[in-house]
Amino acid sequence: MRESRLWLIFLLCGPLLIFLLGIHLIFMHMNTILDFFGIKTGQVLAYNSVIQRATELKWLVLYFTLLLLGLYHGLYGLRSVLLELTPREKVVNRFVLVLGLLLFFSGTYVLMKSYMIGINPS
Amino acid sequence: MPLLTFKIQRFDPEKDKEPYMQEFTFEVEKGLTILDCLNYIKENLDATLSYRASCRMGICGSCAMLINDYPRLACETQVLVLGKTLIEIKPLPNYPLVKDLIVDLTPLFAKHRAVKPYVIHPDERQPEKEFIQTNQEQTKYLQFAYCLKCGICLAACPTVATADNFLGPQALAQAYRYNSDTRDNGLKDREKIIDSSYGLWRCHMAGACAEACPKGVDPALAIQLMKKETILGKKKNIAPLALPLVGVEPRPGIPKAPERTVK
Repeated sequence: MRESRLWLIFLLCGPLLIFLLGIHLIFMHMNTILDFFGIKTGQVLAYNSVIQRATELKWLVLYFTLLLLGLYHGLYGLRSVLLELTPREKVVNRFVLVLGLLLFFSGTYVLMKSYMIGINPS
Repeated sequence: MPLLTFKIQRFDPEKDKEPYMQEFTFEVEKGLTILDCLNYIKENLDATLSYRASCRMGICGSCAMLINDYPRLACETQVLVLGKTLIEIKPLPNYPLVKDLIVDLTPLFAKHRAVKPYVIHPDERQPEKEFIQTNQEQTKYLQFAYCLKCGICLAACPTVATADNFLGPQALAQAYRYNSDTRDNGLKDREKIIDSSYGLWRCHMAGACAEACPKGVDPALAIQLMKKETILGKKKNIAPLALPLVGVEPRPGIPKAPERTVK
């Protein structure tokens, strides 16, 4: 793929990450502010709440999207840094791809495991 | 007349292991350029001093060197304007050193050649008439056509200093110059080369190339404009060929042009 396409995706990931991370931060870590506006969130960081959210489609989609966007944005940045240090582009691309796949599968595993625990607590 | 000291980097690959600095002190008068001073040293003080120079008027770009830690053309740098009594002269950085103040400009020309710096005709046939290009169309690329190929921009570029394979400001500015020329249809060919990780996207917009260019070319601008074009696409009008002349008679007494020798 042309470098301009890779860069454009990297660029678009930025505002999307800000938006989705904003949702995550507001609901998970700013409940005092939400309480001030009359929105009751409860004990969002309690184990039961976390497992409950893991079974809800909207949160699953949010976290899966965050995983994809975050990985692409971060690994593209890492690739740019590595290419500054070495001219071996193919080696850098393969390293970043393998690292990305490992992190993607481990992130997906966490989401799936949480979902399984959520729907079958026993 | 002020007395100035010139500290010049010397290196003879046949004799020296490392470059060293040699000092020359003499009186200079207003109006002398660094190149004049180098000529004075060569003619009167040390005939072994090596440097490259040709036109003496900022046209050929041969005498680019690092003067007081800034890449400049020696022929365009007035010695008293520098305002220093000690003037340090070194070869351009980011190039292999050949001798004294002479560097090997092969990387510059290899990168320049890589972006196909010539008009690629829209039609494979050789045009029989000239292309019609308006002044406005010419203005879009004119400043980039002033490039001397002196290599100063590559010497100033911090990215070239760390990445040998970065195409660099000179070649990228020339890619923009030909991409913006309405007589040219080589955009797709050039995009394959410049839209790569060591092309446009390696530039960090330090702007040192534009700052240092002795002809006022702004390669950083060209790179930014090409980044925009590769993302948003470039609409380009191809210049039409001039219409054949109709009803034109030569003035009496003007001889007929000879037949073309090249078919």
